[in-house]
Amino acid sequence: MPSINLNYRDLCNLLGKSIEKDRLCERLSMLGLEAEAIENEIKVEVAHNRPDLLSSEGIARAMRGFLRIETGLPNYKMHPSGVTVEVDKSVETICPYIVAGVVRGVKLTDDVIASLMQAQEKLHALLCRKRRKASIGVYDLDKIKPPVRYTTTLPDGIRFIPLDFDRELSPAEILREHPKGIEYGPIIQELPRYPLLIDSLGTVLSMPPIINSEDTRVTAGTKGFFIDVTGHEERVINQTLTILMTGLAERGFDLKSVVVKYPKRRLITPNLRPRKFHVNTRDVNKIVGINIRPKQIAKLAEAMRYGVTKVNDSSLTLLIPPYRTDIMHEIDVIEDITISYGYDKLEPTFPKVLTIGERAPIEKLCDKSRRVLTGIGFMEVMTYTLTNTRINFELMRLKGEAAEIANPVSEDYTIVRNSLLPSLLLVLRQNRHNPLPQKIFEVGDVVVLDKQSETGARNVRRAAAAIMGEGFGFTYMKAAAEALLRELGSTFEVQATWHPSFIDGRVAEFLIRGEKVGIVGELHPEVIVGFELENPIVVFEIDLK
Amino acid sequence: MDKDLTLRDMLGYLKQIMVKLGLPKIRFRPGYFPYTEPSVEADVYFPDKHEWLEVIGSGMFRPELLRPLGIRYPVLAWGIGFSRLCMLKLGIEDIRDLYNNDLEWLQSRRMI
Repeated sequence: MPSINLNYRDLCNLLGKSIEKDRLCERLSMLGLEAEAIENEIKVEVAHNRPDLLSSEGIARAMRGFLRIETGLPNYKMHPSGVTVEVDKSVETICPYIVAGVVRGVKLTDDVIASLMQAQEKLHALLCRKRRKASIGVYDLDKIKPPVRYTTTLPDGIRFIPLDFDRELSPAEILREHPKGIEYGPIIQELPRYPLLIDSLGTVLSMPPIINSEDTRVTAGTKGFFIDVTGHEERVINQTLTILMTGLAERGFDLKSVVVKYPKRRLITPNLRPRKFHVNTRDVNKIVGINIRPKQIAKLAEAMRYGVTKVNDSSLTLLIPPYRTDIMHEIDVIEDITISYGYDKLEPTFPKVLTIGERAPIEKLCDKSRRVLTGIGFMEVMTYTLTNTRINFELMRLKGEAAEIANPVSEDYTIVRNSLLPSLLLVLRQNRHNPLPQKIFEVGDVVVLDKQSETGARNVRRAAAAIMGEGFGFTYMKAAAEALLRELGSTFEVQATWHPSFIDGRVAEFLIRGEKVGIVGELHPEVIVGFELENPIVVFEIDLK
Repeated sequence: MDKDLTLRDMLGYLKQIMVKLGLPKIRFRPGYFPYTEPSVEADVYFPDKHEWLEVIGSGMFRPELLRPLGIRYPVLAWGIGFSRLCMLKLGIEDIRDLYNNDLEWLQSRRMI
């Protein structure tokens, strides 16, 4: 989960109330934000569905409601800024969408700057998918002469000074030389032209999604922001701008709208309109298992910053704040109402459903196998189900295929095992320093390929055992395997067979009603040496069903 | 799954399971999982460690997930961090030791 750091003093400031750290952390966690105080900071984990909580301002806004300092829909006043963004036709095939806003009355302190930078960074990482879906630019409004043009440039086109540099570079040079160009360059590198924001005097604002210009840099003295979000999905860029701007409104700054002129349409952004939503109050009570009146439910919703426009006998009409991008279904609102009610106030009810449960038959069989095998002196081990072809096949002198991992994290774990025997041999290898004989077993799953199965593979539960040491031959292990099969109540036959992993003439298979269910034998010396072992090993492996 | 199951019922199940495991002190917090709403995380108190630990994630399946399967009743779901419980019960500090197969080490362990 993404986490953000809040300055404790700044948070209290935004809350308009000083609250003791421990109490604040406890309340944050009851709001669904796991929080931990570290010196003067509070580290908060934010769920993926709540990008509006990726800033101090967003968290303070939610907490003000939850702590009943200020409830109901946040009221955002917005006037036109007079700023226009003109969208050039050439962006259509490069990065087609832009929204923008203006913030005035900005007073920057270190806390505000830190919070804004963090919010921008987290939104870029999450909602904007590392700038692939959308990219944010924040500029000093007074350094820009509107109208702003959203256009494109050739890779060796217009030159400007990127942030943190002291000389002009061409777009292609920025991609090669600037740290941000190197990091985010691959997003646009293959395009014939790169996106560009430029003002009416020809001052470059930025080359989205890579870097802003030094000329329009935000400094401690900045009194107003021009903010843009560009990207490939209108929904995402609108959400990003709304979240960022409403956050700044929490600081008491003034929001102003911008006119975005596309060749064939005209928009006014940001969109701060709340969404209307109906909630059935009976559903709230039924799902949570409580009994509260519509009026109380309305109060609980207001504490989660919903607006309430109508309360009926059985339904509420709510206004969803514009920054809440996560509300898809009535159940999302019901959860919010429950959080507002307090998870700590919900008394668990003793379940009314009375059915008789029991262990699954396969688990009973496994338990019995474990009892039998421990009873005849084997020790249980537990190993990994993931392995690689070298261990699963090559070292066993086998060729074959197993279920493969699509994106393996490590070269050691690329397939799912189709036999327990290599796993047991790895355990023996790990125990070379321990005294002999060693008698071990495992009951576990393997995955075998099966064209009949819907997924092309199926799980098979097996029991396997191994003994390493002198004096335990084929006969001993066959007797052990037969003891297990007998205790499990199977009628079986044994027949001689041949298998690459075993010594010729020292291997047999078990059959139940003509179907092969297991194998027992003395391992081939090459297998033993392959696992870096040097003593005779006998094994068996049996399907449990 | 059953008709009329509630969120409080789910808390009841979790509470009963932990009571049976000998850890009766349990507290609930809001959580987030993509497939459940409401979602709940539960902390359980471990008297030996004098500590609350997060060991359960749970929730009620989202209705739009159940409908395509033809399910019209509430479905409760939870997962318990079994490895963590085992570690505490067995006095294991490193989670990798749950898969430690050194036979001498295994012989020195208690059964659960």
